[in-house]
This record gives sequence, C-alpha cells and structure tokens, in this order.
Amino acid sequence: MFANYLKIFIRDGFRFLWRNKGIAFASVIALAVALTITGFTVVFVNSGNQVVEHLQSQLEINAYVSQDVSRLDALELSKEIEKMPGFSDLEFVSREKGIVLLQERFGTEMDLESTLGGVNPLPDHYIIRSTSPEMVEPLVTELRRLPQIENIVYGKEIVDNVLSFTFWARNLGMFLIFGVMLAAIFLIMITIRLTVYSRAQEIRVMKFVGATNWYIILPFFIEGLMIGLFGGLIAAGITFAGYQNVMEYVLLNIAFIPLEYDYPRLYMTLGSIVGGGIFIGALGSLMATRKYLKV
Amino acid sequence: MIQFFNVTKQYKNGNVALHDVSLAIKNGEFVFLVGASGAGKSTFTHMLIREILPTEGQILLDGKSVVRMKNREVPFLRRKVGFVFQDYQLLQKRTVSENIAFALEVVGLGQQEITKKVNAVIELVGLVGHEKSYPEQLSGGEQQRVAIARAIVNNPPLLVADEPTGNLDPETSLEIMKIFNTINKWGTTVVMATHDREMVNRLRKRVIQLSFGEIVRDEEKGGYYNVR
Ligand SMILES: Nc1ncnc2c1ncn2[C@@H]1O[C@H](COP(=O)(O)OP(=O)(O)OP(=O)(O)O)[C@@H](O)[C@H]1O
Ligand SMILES: [Mg+2]
Repeated sequence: MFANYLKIFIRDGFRFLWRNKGIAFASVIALAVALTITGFTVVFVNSGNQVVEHLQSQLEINAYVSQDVSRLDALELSKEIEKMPGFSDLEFVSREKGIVLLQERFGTEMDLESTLGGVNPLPDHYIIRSTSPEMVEPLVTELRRLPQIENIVYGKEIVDNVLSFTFWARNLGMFLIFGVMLAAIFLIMITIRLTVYSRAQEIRVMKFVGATNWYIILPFFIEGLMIGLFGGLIAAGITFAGYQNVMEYVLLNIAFIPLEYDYPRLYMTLGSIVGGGIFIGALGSLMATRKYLKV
Repeated sequence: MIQFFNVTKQYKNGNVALHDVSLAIKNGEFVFLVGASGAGKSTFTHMLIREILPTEGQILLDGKSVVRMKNREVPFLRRKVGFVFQDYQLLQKRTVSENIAFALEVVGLGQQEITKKVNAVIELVGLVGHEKSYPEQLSGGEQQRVAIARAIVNNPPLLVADEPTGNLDPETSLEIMKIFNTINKWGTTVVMATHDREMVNRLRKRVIQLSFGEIVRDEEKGGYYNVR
C-alpha cells in the first residue's frame, strides 16, 4: 500500500513541477543563488579561519625583562604570567640563548659577539602566546602591570586586521544569506501556492473521496523537495568549481598566504548546501500548504 | 444506518437551514429528499459527509457520531459515503478512467486492482468505450455516470446524491435513476435530494419532505405531490 502511495506522490510531484515549470525554474535559480552565496561565504570564512589560525599560532608577545632583575626572579615571573587570563603557553628565552638565536638569523657573514665587543646587550625575555587573537590585548595589559617587565613587543596591527577581516566577511555573508534565503523561501512558497490554487478543485474532490491530509500535501511536499534538491545541487556545483579555481589562483599567485586545500571540510559544506536546499524546499511547501492541514 | 437527533443548522449569517430534524434511515433503504428551493436539502446531504456540521443535535452513521468525530477520522468516513454532485465535480484534465481511479488511488490500492475495479464500474454505469474520453467530450448524462462511478467504485455502504439529475433531460434522468436503483438493489443505502417530480412519482420510494428546514412529511412509497 505504501509503495502504491509513493508512486502516486512522486508522479504527481513531478507533474506539478512540470506544469509550473516557469516559476519553478525561477525558484530553483533563486534558491541556487542563495545557497551559492552561502557556500562561498562558508568556504571563505573557513579559509579565513585557516589563515587566522595560522597567523594566530605566530602571534607572539615578546615581554622583555628588566636588566636589574635577577635570573631567578625572571624565571619566577612565569608563575604569574601563567595565571593571566587568555594565557596559552610561554617560552623563556635567556639572554644567552637570545644572542644565539640572533646570530642564527644573521648567519655566518657577521660575527655578532665580536661586533658587539664581547658584550651581550640582550635582556632575558618571554615569548607568550594567547588562547585567541581577541585575548592578546587583555594579556598585554596584564603584562604591563608587572614592574619586572620593561618592554613589550607584539603584532597588534596584524591581530586587529585579521580580526576585522573575518568579522566583516562573516557578517556580510550572514546578511546576504539571510536576505537571499528569505527571497528563495518566498519564491518557493509562491510556486507551491500556484500549484495549490491551480488544483483547488482537485483538492476539493480529493477530500470528498476521502483523501487524508498528508495524501493531499505530499505531492506538493515532493514538488518543494525537488526545487530544493535542484537548487542545492546547482549551488554545490558552483561552490565546488569556485573553490577549485579561487584556491588555485590564490596558491599560485599569493605566495605568503598560508592556505591548503581542505577537501573534507569542502565536502561537508557541499553536503550541507544540498541538505539545506532540500530543507528550504520542504519548509516552503509546508508553509504554502499549511492551511490544507486542516479539513 | 443514519440517525438524526434534533439536528439544527444555523449558518453564521443567521440563516436557519435545518430546525430540530430527527429521523432514522435503515440499511438498504432508498430515500428521496424533496422540498422547495432553500428547504435545507443540500445542508442535510452535506452533513452526511461532515462537510457541514450541525449547530445543535447529534448525527450517527452506523452508530458512530459524525459530530464528535476527530478531523483525522473524516477521510475514513468519506470513503464509506459515496457522494454525487449536481455539477458532477469531475477533473477536466483527467480521462474517465482516471477520474474514477482517483478515488481508489486515495485509498492506496495497487494499479492492477484499480484497473480491474474501474473497468467493472465503467461497465455497470454504461460507459464502455468512453474510458479514454475527457469530461468535456461527454454529454451531461455521461458525465453524471462518471461521477456516480467514482462515488461507488469503492463499494461504499451509503450513496448520497444532491440533485444528480438537476441538469439532465427526463430520458437521461431515467437512465441515471436506473443506475441508482440497481446499486440500491445490491444493498447500498441511497439518499437522494431531488426536485425531479417525475422520478419520485415513478419510483415510489420513501419520501422525506423538508419545508423551511423542518420535516413536514415522511412517507413510505410516497410521491412528489405538492412540494412548495
Ligand atoms: N453557506 C451558507 N451560508 C448561509 N446560508 C446558507 C448557506 N448555505 C445555505 N444557506 C441557507 O440555508 C437554507 C437551506 O439551504 P440549502 O442549500 O440546504 O437548500 P436546498 O434545499 O438545497 O435548496 P436548493 O433546492 O435550491 O438546492 C437556505 O435558506 C440557504 O439560503
Ligand atoms: Mg441544494
């Protein structure tokens, strides 16, 4: 019996879609546009996050200990720093190690020790990382409170830029998605409503011969699902192609951007796009047939 | 089979279509419902499929309250009550066979069984050869046959008709009446609202006459007489 029903629903669902193909096509396109914008935003923010994470791992606060502080007291400082909000990890760099690192950076062309006349001018310092970019600033404020710390150097501008960049990308994306999604749902609703209206008599007769509400609604539901599925598939296709091309361009042309292909995440996004399309289609058709849920 | 207990229907605008109607119709009866225009015949027939609910009183079908029935039970009530409209209510974009099959698809039958039952009922109502025609290609009498076929294809124990011959000439009406009579002979209860003096007088069935929403006559083997 269930199979008999299913056959009819799918038959009628496609029939409905076909009869309204003009407006149905429009709603597929609208939905595809909405979902493509969604897809691009998600992929963009994901990649942005990848960059942020990378930069974040490089965002270090260099806190230089005053020369008057003894080695022992300087080491003791770590206990206080570890208790600070936003603290993630630290590394103590003694002045001896500091000069070695500096020498490494200059390479063999210059003998730092002899140039400096055997004197090491570097103070001991800590390399401190925060739990998140947002916490860099508060952490710095806390560090400034320590009298033993003489000087603090950190990449404030980079942090701020990266943060505002992803913030705006995310919000603009959300705004766009919200607007276009609303339009898509609306169009789907109109499409289904048109089908419902063009079938008002049929629905009436269906009820007279004893059709249940779900029997009446399911073909419309399938019509909505189809629109959602097609819209979702188109959007997923465009997003996939877009990702491939943009990534290729970025990787080949902007050398310093720390970005990698992330296919598992992309496929998850594409799956969500198709799933989201189906969901929106279903939602639209339910909204359009809502009043027929009553006898 | 059908029991009305003090049924009153007042429409939202204040019109009283039925007033304190009580009656019983037994299994297998053939009942003509007569009365002047506006007497309440359509209101009565539509109550039997819960298209209209009474404002007061109780209606039982096979002992089950139609009034207190839940919304989701209504479809199953309607599968047990075939309904024939004066204006046929056929789907113009479906063929004769499809219009009839429609009522069986709703019930969830398989294609084979549907075909078998549809062919049988097409023969019963005399539409052989018209299976693939569309309603607009049929005469009024033929369209009404399709509507009757759709109403009875599911073998409902009760068949209700609201002026099924209202738009037909006397000869065609007689043909339609014959179909109802045959179905009734096979055990189906028939309730028919009609203005058709000729048919009522010819068939001599139980006649219930309504006037301004009240029963003014209920007669076995009655005639049409002077319905006002
Ligand atoms: N939806 C409605 N709203 C308000 N009043 C209505 C409605 N339907 C019917 N009526 C009124 O109820 C009364 C009975 O109407 P009903 O249709 O049952 O009569 P009827 O006997 O079928 O008449 P006819 O022979 O013309 O079909 C009439 O006075 C009519 O005006
Ligand atoms: Mg009437």
